[in-house]
Amino acid sequence: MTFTTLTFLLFLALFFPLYWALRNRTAQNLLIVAGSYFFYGWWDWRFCGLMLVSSLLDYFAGLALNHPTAPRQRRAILFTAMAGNISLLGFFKYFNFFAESLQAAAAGLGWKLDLPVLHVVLPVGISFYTFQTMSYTIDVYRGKLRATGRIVEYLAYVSFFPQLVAGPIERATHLLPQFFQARVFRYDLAVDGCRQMLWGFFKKLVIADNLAPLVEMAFSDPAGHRGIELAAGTVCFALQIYCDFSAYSDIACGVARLLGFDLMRNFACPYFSQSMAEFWRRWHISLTTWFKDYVYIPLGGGRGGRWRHARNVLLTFLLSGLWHGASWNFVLWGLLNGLLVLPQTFSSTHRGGRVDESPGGAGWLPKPAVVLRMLLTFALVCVGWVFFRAATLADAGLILRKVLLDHDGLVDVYHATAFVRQGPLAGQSYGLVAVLLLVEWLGRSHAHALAGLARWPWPLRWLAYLALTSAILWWGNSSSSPFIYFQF
Amino acid sequence: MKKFLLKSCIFLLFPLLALGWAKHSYRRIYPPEQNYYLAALDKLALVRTQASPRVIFIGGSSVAFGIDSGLIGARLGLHPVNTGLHSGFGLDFFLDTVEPWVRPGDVVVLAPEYEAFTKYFHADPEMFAHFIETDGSLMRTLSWRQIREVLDRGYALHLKKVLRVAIRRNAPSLDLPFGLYSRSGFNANGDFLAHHGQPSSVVPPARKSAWFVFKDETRTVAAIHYLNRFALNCRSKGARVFLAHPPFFDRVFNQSREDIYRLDELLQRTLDVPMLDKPEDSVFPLELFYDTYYHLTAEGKRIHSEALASRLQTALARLP
Repeated sequence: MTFTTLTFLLFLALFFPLYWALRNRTAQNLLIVAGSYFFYGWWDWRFCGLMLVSSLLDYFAGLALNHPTAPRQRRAILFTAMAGNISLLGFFKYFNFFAESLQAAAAGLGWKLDLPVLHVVLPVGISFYTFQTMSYTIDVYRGKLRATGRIVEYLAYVSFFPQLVAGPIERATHLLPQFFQARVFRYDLAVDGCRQMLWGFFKKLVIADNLAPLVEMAFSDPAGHRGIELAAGTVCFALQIYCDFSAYSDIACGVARLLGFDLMRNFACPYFSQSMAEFWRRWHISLTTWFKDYVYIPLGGGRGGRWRHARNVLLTFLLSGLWHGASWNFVLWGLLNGLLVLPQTFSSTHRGGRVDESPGGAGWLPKPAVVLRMLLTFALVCVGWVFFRAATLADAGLILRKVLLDHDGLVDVYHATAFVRQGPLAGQSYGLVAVLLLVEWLGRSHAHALAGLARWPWPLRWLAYLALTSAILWWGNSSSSPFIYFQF
Repeated sequence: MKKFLLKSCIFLLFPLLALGWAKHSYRRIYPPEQNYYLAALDKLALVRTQASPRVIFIGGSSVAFGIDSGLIGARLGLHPVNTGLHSGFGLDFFLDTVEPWVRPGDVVVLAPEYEAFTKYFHADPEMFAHFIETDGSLMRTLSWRQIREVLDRGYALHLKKVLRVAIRRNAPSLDLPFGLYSRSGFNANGDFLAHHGQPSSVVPPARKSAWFVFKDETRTVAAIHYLNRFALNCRSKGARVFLAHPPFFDRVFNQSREDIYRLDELLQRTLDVPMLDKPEDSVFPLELFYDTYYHLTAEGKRIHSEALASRLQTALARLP
């Protein structure tokens, strides 16, 4: 089930009152498990079995780790659980990629390898819930968390429908205890959740889904487009992927808040970052911190000299790229971002803002130097997005070459605007993107863009809600294309 | 909680009132009782009640506009049934609804538009939303997958269309039933007659690129698999199944020739249904089309139906 469908709204309209009508915490958790499996099975009921297997693997591994055993045995349990999780991911997501790469490498050496090709559908959200269950077992192994014997609460933690398919990837230390706490309906939290959902719907339906055809046009035929059109297509993709993915997180956090849960923040205005290091602290925070805690730090982090530090950073980004998808484009995208982040991780002077700080300073308007740094960072991020979105490495190379070399002076301005006008929103795109940037800028010091509305007088507040709802009804692309991150 | 629910309801009242008003305006512009799509009910009833042996035509609007099933039925000595209505229903909808009613001696002619093998094999969910809303009993004719599609996307798309039509008061395209497009425009065999005698309004395309593009084989392979199963089931009941190419405007055909031939080559290779003609056999000049490059005029319909009847006679004579 996708958030931006009528089915989901009906599901939520039934689930919400039923959930709060249940006074018993265990009954609420049971309802969450049932609802979450229904939500997930709406795509394909067979996916539910896979999620259950993945969940139970780590549930029993956690229980085994609870018992006092020798370190060697504990390592064996951890290894078995990790191998099971990675095998599941490997089978569904990476088998064909590695088989094809191996075949190509062998062919390069003149050998002929006949490896089978699997015709399996990638289960939606498998990377997200596998990483969540892996973090649970690792945390239990490290002694950060005691494994739970309560299977209902554990299954509710893994399958919690608001964040099941595309995150935020929650840590058991943060989310699991919430299933053991009594939940009390809080009006202010519920209203804030609705505000965050409303902004999420606006970003996904009005911005992301309407930019998608322009992006598709540019990236499906790079040879047939001018450099400036490809540049415009790349900027559109940068906006599309942000509005798509952060919208999912916004809706997930909003729905969770309606049910009395607090999910971690996943995006903190990443495009207002002034360096690549800052960008990666603000983009997909739950994944970045996951890799930091479970890959980068165990590898040694910043210790052991510059070369070792550089190796750890590059390896972490490379794996992060591979997590996104089984293709060399993602590997290169990860590597490129690692290389761009590297100079800043060595620098002791400017390290960029923290996630909880307001990006670009606290003033109404940023200083010119800040704007320049933001634009430069955005341009570098866009270079990475070319690899992320292009169908092949050759296409990515062609796009970058054309963007850099294929210019036509002032006529380019005409071509760029003509290209954008071909989208479903035509000239209105500019106004709507301006609204997006303005609202995000004004709300950048809050947990989400519309959180500040709570302080507005009620008539203005309601006017803003109605304006956003009207925009969604009028401009929203109702074809409900799936969220981009579902494929990961 | 009460305060939250109350305020939520008050808030939801605004968009619901707006949509209610839009729906009211929409119904005034397009009265539901004359809805073109409702002809599906009449066609399904005909499939159930028409006596066998029959010649049953399945396809989109090109079949509704371009086939004189009475003429062909008379030539073959079969009772005619024309289920052609709109490609947006999806070819699978009519395959699924016709198949249980196929009887020994029936001849089924599949004549879908080229897009039915690519994007329109499954229905446009918006159309089903419109369809169900006009007559709720139609829900029974849909499969679970189709109902899910309507819930997931169809209703939202339909409401958006309703809102746009109500505010702008215009008909954005032919996917809205208006003017001659009416349930009463069909004869007892299911052939569309309302456009007979009307002046042609179709103009040559301004663009030079291919009208029909055949890029992704995945959907087509799935569609062929579905069609093969349908044909097998029909044959097991003692019926015969054929495929005919849709009528198409010659210039547009030439622009899309390569793509059409690639599709046709795939069909010849993998579709287990005998073909009555080649793509170029159903190509006609512009003056024989009414309002789209698939909708023939009365004269075009006569020429096309005569040719199709002859091919069917030959094909049936060849069969044991």
